[in-house]
Amino acid sequence: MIICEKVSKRFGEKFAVRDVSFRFDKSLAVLGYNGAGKSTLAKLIAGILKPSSGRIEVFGKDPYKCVEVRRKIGIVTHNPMLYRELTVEENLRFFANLFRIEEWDWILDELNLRDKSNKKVLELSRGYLQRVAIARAMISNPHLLILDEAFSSLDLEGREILRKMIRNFEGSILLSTHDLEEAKFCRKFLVLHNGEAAYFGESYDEAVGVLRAHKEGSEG
Amino acid sequence: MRPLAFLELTKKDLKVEVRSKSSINQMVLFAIASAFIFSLSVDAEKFFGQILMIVVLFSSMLSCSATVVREFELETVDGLKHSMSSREIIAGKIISNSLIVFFLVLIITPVCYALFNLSGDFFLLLISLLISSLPISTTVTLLSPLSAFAKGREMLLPAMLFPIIFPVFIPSFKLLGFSYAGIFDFISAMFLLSYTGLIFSLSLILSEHLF
Repeated sequence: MIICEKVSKRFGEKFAVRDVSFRFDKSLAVLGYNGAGKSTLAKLIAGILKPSSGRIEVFGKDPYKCVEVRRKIGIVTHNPMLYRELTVEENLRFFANLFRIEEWDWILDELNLRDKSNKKVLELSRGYLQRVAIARAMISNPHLLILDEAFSSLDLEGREILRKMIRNFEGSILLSTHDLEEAKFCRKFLVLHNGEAAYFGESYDEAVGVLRAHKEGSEG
Repeated sequence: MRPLAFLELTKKDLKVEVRSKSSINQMVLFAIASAFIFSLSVDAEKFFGQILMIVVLFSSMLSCSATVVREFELETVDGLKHSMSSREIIAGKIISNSLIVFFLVLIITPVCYALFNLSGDFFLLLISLLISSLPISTTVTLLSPLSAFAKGREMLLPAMLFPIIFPVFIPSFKLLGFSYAGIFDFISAMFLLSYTGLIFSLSLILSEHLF
């Protein structure tokens, strides 16, 4: 169970996330336009950022304070968190070693990265970089997978591979996106607008309605 | 703390450094250039200990802070935080930075020995300089995350570093001076190693606030 209670995150005077509350078990889609606070929320739940106020609980513990919980979370953000000077294989081996995982190269086949394994990360295209980032997140067999705009730079093949991985994933998923089609499979939906929760519930149609209403509101 | 985890980080840092050569090249060039200028301008044989310490101090500031700051700038530190504790991260960083500074010392000691026309015990001088470099690399690594996001980090790091590193200077000068005469100053060496241990422990205690 992942619980957020009145979570706020402030950068200076500006609130990136404000008083957001939700809880989910299996899957949550966080929807919102650019600057809504999706990435900040993803990083808060992943334990990368410390909330300014409120409480976050992932599998019963605060992810910011507990490394054991963070080790159960796989996260893909706009930044691949990879070492540019190392090859794909060296990067993945490094993270696998940190998790003490010996059998890890199945992920190369899973993401169709085998022929790129000896290439340096800095030589990869944006799409392949994203695939390696997904591999890094999945290598530890996480219990919670956080995908923040993970589909955005993938080509058709990459998108299909990721969709398949998500379908077969047995843990919890938090999918942060502005692509409504990708969010359809989720069981719960959170719509963020200017850092605040505009909707939280189980209806996809309602979530989309709220999202569109906010877009029209800000345009009108 | 898992010893294998922080050694993995050390191994990775050294591999990245060997591939990019960004810090090592900068550090070695700076060290050799400043040693050369000092050899022309002051009585280098008399002040070699002080000169060596200045060269090691400023070169370490360049390289040790760069390896830490790069993790923050590229946000790779977020990936580390997902797989390691803060203590493991700081321990790994201190060890890799110390090894990089050791490498510098191995290069500049013979260069300085030749430039300064020294004739004392070379190996004792080398060992003394390695010991003297330890508190410097440890302290710079401890302070680097604090200055990573500061606007004037080039100014902030030395400003924070000098008051903490100050107690190290006199024992280092003594250790280097005695080693030149063929004597190993055990008390100064123990002081420097203890000071390194103290800063290392402090780094582990403060690690949660650093990473």
